[in-house]
Amino acid sequence: MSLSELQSRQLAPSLEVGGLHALAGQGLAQRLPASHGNQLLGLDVWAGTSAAERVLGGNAAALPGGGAHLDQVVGHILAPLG
Amino acid sequence: MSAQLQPLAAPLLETTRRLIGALQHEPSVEMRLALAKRLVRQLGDEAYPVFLKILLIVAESEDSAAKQLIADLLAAAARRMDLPSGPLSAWGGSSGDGAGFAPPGRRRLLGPIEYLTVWHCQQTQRPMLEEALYADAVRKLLALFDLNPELRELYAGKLGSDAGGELEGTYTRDTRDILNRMAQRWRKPESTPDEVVRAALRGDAPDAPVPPGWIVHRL
Repeated sequence: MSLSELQSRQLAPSLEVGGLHALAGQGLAQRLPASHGNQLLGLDVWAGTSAAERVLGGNAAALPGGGAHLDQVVGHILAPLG
Repeated sequence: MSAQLQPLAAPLLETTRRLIGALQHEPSVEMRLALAKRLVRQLGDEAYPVFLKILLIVAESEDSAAKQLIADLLAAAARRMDLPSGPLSAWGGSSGDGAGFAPPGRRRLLGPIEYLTVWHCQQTQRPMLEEALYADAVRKLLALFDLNPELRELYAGKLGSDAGGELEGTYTRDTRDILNRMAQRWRKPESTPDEVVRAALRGDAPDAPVPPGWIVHRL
């Protein structure tokens, strides 16, 4: 299967994120100049959390039902980064 | 050191959670791969370290299912020789701000380990990555990748092949040496991520005592 085919396919029904735009990540490069790369890797995002809190799956912000295209899902994932 | 970026911590964590959630809901490996690659593309060339940071957040988590998911995803990508990659300027290109940037055509796409190693060893469009951060990041990524034996085998083989190949203008001798030592050590089944990183950076020779007052440079 080619990527172009994938692009036109819809994701599994549970990944509906209608209404979210697909360009959420585009501003990030401007807000993250090259000189901040070192700092980014050194950033402790888990600071102050217990081991039990260091989980990632199962509680992601709503991924409601229905079909969604790849760009919509990626837009949803990157939305927190503005 | 990271106080300036501290406001990004919560959004990065939420983004990582959303990525894991989306991957867990998608049954098709092809679609998972396409999703990861689209994410990298949408972040943009200069923000590839954000993708690396997402991998590190997963590696630092206590979520074994999420870790296995990412390791398996990258194994599938490695099988296709299609790891999500980011561009760094070729070492022949000059570095610094503004006019010194290598033109986009001279940039090479690099997988996570290669990207970090070139970032650490070579003059690129980015200020060089400090050794402590490099070692820490690679150690965590290796531990993550070790969760899938096929990924470990394929990726170690690729690094060895890259180091021994003649990808003109991509790697300096120092980078090749590090990648080669890393590949050799990583191929040994019993080696730990810590040992692999130590071998990559220092070689396997025992540390000779340094006379007082001497300053030793790695050449």
